[in-house]
Amino acid sequence: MTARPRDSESPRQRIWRRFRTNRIALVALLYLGGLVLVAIFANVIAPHDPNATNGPINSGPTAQYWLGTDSTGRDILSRLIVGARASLEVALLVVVFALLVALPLGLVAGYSRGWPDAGIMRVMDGLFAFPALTLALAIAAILGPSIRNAAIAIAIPFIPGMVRLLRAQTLAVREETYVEASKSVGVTSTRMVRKHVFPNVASPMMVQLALTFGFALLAEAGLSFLNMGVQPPTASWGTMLGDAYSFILSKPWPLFPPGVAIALTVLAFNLIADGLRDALGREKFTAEA
Amino acid sequence: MIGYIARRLLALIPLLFIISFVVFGMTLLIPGDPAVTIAGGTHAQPADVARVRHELHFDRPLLVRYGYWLRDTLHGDLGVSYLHNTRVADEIARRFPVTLSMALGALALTILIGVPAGIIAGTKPGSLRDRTTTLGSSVGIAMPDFWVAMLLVVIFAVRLGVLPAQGYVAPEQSLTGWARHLALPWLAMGLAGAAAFSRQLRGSMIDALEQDYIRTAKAKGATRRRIVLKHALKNASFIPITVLGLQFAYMLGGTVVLENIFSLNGIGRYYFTALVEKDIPVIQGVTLFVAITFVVINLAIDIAYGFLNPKVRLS
Repeated sequence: MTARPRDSESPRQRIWRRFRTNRIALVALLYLGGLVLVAIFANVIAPHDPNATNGPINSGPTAQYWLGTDSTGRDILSRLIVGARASLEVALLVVVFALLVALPLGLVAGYSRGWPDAGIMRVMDGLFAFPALTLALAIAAILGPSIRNAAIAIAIPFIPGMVRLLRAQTLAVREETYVEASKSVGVTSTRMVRKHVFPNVASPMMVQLALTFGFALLAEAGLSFLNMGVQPPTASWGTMLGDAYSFILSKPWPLFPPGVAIALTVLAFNLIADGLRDALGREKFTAEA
Repeated sequence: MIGYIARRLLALIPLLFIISFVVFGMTLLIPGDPAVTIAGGTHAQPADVARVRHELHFDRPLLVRYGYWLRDTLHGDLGVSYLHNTRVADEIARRFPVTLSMALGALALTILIGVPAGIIAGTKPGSLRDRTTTLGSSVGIAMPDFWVAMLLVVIFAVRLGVLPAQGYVAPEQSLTGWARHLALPWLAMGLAGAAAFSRQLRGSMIDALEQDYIRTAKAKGATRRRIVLKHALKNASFIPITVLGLQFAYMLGGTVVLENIFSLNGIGRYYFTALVEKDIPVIQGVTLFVAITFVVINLAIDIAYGFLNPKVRLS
């Protein structure tokens, strides 16, 4: 028997079966799983107090301070571990906020068409005209700096792209014959969206969410670097880069750990997005940038 | 064609209105009373505050204030900075060459690196050279551009001492000084841009090479080089060019973090200082300028498409 589509498996099982065969994406997923554990148990794992300034100043890696210390004598490894929590927390909140707003807007625009669609999409076009960081900085300035506000500020620029994608997907599903069939037997709009449209839009959305996660981490770093996001002394990878920047001419070492951590984590999210996209088949559903 | 351009222009009107609402509304929400700041901060006399408030129309209803602002803006008057008493439009004009210089160089690098990388990867998907290039671009996308910028400063300015880490020299003054000061910002922006662009081009190349006209060209005996460069690249370039246009538009909006790192007094740094100082006319002026730049570039791309592709014109 040749491998033939297994009738019994659900779409989710199929995606997972295909995803599993992608070794790089699996490694990325494992890395992220580990990182989430590190973030959750940060306080237990961190070898030193991340805010204690009693270490040597600007030390390179030593047996006691594995990743060295920063310009105020804080342990970089401990800050990196605790910082993972703040950075991931912002990124997770960004994804949640963006999705909470974009999901209803995208579904309504795509399913209703007509004036709600036109109205929603023109507003999205308007938001799209501002570079992400420009908009996020303004919102951060309006709301004041905190983890939650940084997340809202970063989430808003991501909403238009997400709404566009959701709308396009919804429009496509809307034209399917099974939707037409359900409609002809009198299925209500709410039920239609919940039962038919949403499940079909969910898979491509996962790709977009993984990408958004990565971009949100980058944006957090930028915002916190400019002191408009996570506030010192709380460690996040972005604030650590900001601290390191003050001394790059004499002591560049503290620049490396947070930068590498950000790059690896964003890379992991993007590789997972690639893996998901392959697992979902060759359809084109990523939002146009 | 004229009908197409007219339709495009008409479609801009609601968009521009929404942008103006966003710009005007956003700045109203910024906490703090600018009238107090202008009248002297915490030591301001109530009478002075009231006078400033009246002069700036703060005592008028919101819609009236929006009307005043819109009228001035349409006349090209972006107002006067609350803190520095300088005209916002003049300041933007003064700083724009810096940002434009950054964006042009970065765009050139994006194309110079991104096009070959996209072709190398996209003409042989799944091969070793594709996987290496794609991994490289994935890493390029994953690194924060300002982190790359700081690494470049450490390598080229601190360790090797061959390029300046900060500052700007106008091209009229010294062309080499201009290029030397912008080399690191160009690299930092261009590498990130090329990473994103090459991935886009790779995807489009793969799709284009699967089309029937490629098979026809092969059957005719066209050389591989001709097939890739003429048939595939030309047809694959539509979406990547849109992406490139958007990237360029965003670059022209000023890169706040990079301009800060390299001490370049461009649009981004002007904007950031204004945000910190809560200098509302400056924030309004810059956000509006940035959004309009985006709209204009987008329009230019749309019109160019209309010229190149009759299908676009008729839809």
